[in-house]
Amino acid sequence: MQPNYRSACLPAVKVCNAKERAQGCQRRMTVAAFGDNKPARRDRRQNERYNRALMRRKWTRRKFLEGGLKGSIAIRAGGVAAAPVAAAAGPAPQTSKRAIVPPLQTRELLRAAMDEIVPASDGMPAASEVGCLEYFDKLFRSTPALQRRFEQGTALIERIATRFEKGFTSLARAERIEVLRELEQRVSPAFFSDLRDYVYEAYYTRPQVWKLIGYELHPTHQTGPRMKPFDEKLLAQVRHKPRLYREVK
Amino acid sequence: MPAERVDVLVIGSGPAGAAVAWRLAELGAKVVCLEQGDWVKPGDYPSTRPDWEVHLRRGRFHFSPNVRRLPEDYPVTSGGGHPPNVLMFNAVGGSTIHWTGHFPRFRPSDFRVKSLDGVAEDWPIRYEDLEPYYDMNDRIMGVAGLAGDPANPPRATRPTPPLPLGVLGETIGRGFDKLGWHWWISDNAIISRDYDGRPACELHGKCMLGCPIGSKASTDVTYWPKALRKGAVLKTRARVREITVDGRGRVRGAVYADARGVLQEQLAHVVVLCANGIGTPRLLLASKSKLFPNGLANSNGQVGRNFMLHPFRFLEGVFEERMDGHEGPFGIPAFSQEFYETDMKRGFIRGYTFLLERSFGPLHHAWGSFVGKPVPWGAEHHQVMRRRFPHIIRVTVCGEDLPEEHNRVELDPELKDSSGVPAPRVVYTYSDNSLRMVQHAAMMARQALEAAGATEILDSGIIQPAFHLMGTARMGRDPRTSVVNASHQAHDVKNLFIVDGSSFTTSASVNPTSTIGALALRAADSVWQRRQEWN
Repeated sequence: MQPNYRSACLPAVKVCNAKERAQGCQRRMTVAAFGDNKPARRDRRQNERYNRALMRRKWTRRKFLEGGLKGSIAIRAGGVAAAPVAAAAGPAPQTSKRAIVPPLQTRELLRAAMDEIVPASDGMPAASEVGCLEYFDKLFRSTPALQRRFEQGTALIERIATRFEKGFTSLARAERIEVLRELEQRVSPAFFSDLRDYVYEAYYTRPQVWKLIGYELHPTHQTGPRMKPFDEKLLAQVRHKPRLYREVK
Repeated sequence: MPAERVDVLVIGSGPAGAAVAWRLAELGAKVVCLEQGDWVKPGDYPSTRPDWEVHLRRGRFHFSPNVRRLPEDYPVTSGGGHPPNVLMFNAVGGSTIHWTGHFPRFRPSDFRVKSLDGVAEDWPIRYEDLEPYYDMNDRIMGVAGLAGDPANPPRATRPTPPLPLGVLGETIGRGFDKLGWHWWISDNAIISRDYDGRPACELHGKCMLGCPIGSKASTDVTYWPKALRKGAVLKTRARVREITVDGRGRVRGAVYADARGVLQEQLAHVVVLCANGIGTPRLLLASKSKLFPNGLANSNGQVGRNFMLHPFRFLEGVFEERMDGHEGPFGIPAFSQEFYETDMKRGFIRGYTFLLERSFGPLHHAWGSFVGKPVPWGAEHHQVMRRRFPHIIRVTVCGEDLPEEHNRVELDPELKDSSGVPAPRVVYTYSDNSLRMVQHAAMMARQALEAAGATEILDSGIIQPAFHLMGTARMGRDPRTSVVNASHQAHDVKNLFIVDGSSFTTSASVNPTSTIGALALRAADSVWQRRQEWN
């Protein structure tokens, strides 16, 4: 509903290119592939499958590698490392066009990154301590395209980390933060904001976190919270204001 | 084989269609309603689930049809200087499934904008014409609130007493009192006591993600059960492709794809179109024929023009004390109309309402809440999160938009929905007046939040236009500049009636749904009064 749901509200965004614009195209957004001609029944499982299919479509349509690094990293989804891994300790093969991050490494890197995004401090646990990594596993299982996106994204992180001549997971915390800042501010703000938001999502859907921040869920099939009944005295001052609307004949 | 001819065919089952169908069925008409969505099962509402906030971003319950992409949805493309983010829901109940339930009325002056302020147009009806229908709509929907607001004409005792304001409402109310500004507890179509077979609100605070107990009024739990009991027929998964006409230039009925995708025609003496501010002009424009080559009821080219969206801006005040904005009905607890009427000294014409609002849960706060300012990551994350959650009061600016011909709904030249009907394309640019208005409002909101004791204020700035869809088949006396007359009858087609947000001549600066319901009931009466003409 609100514009700041950003990514949620702007699906499959396709801005018309310069040539089209010159021809008078004002289109800011097109939505391709919409619904299908088969009537959908209200079967929940069927709906879920349908949604997943849509999500895959959505994600694969997204262009997300940005800036100068575009195209410098090739990805083999879910694959086994078939080439030297950029994440390995020691100088990364900067010239390589086929750096591949395997899932295990992705996972470890994600763990390190999420614990910098939501660290253990101020009496709160770090993201990975409350099961956020497992939340990502679940997300990836249901949305393989999201996993591919994160594999590409973590490859970007690894790539930035090469300036310290180490893999991201072997870096000191200050260095990790520096790498993430670089990702956020220069290399791929879009991927960083997705990474951050998914980490927040994982963290703030954990019941153990709710307890620590004083949040009670109150799902709508259970009893709601108690609140003080409305007190009419609160309106005492404004009630005596003169009429505030224009009389119309 | 076309089905039997009925008295009235209603297209759309949302706040307008449901009211029309109920009223006409009650008066004795034979009514069929076509709805492209289906009944929503209350158990499917995300508000019952622990991951409810995730559904604000994705999934089949999202507010945007472009995100949901369900078979019953149609895509909406956008353009213009400020391309809108269009939100709507396709189901029995329409967007009332999602809405907050805020239930204000227009003021008498809102129907006389041209005479009083020299801009836009006057409505062809007066507040007094609509008042009995506002009351009737209040009774069926079920409203909580308090009569006596000095900023609005007197109204009957509300069907149920006010909902709790919470610490949030009390705190911001004190701020407005300190400045000597108007504020009042809102009317909400959420019942505070058991009412008409529906249970009282449980204060869960997740209204926008579905109210499975039916305390929030959505027309699937208010009007529809009554309408069905009176014999109205509601066909779901029935997507209208075209409104058909006969050789005399009268409406015959509508062709629709049924649940199996098979085309059917429903014949009727009268068609009432209630498909929302975008769906309505879209269907009219898509219903081209030899007699109506530019689309139905569009001989003057006005269908789809004058598209209005209230300009919004969000300001969130952060307070030392807990505000618990995630608890209590999400529908606006209180509002202020201190800056509602025109005062040219402020630098803009017409005015705005402040909606004093609650928030979602911790996840939405971390994502940046309504102001789009995510809680920073890293070392300061927990401190900032603790400062903001649950310590926020939101002041939402809802300004009046003025009708401008270049803001419009048209047919997308390429894109179609899954039934082959062209998708709508909305083209919108904020007017300078709107931009000046929300700028002024932001300064005033800041003052109010500071007076209430906010230690920090977060401002969304100018936002992407969204929310209320109005004005695209407007009412008016002059057939050259409007689409329907004071009875909601199309100027061009005697037995076609149009009523929903598209009927609005001007937008006022309040949420439109209670006015849509009142107009719909009144339109139903106009249809009934002309029943001699049916044969």
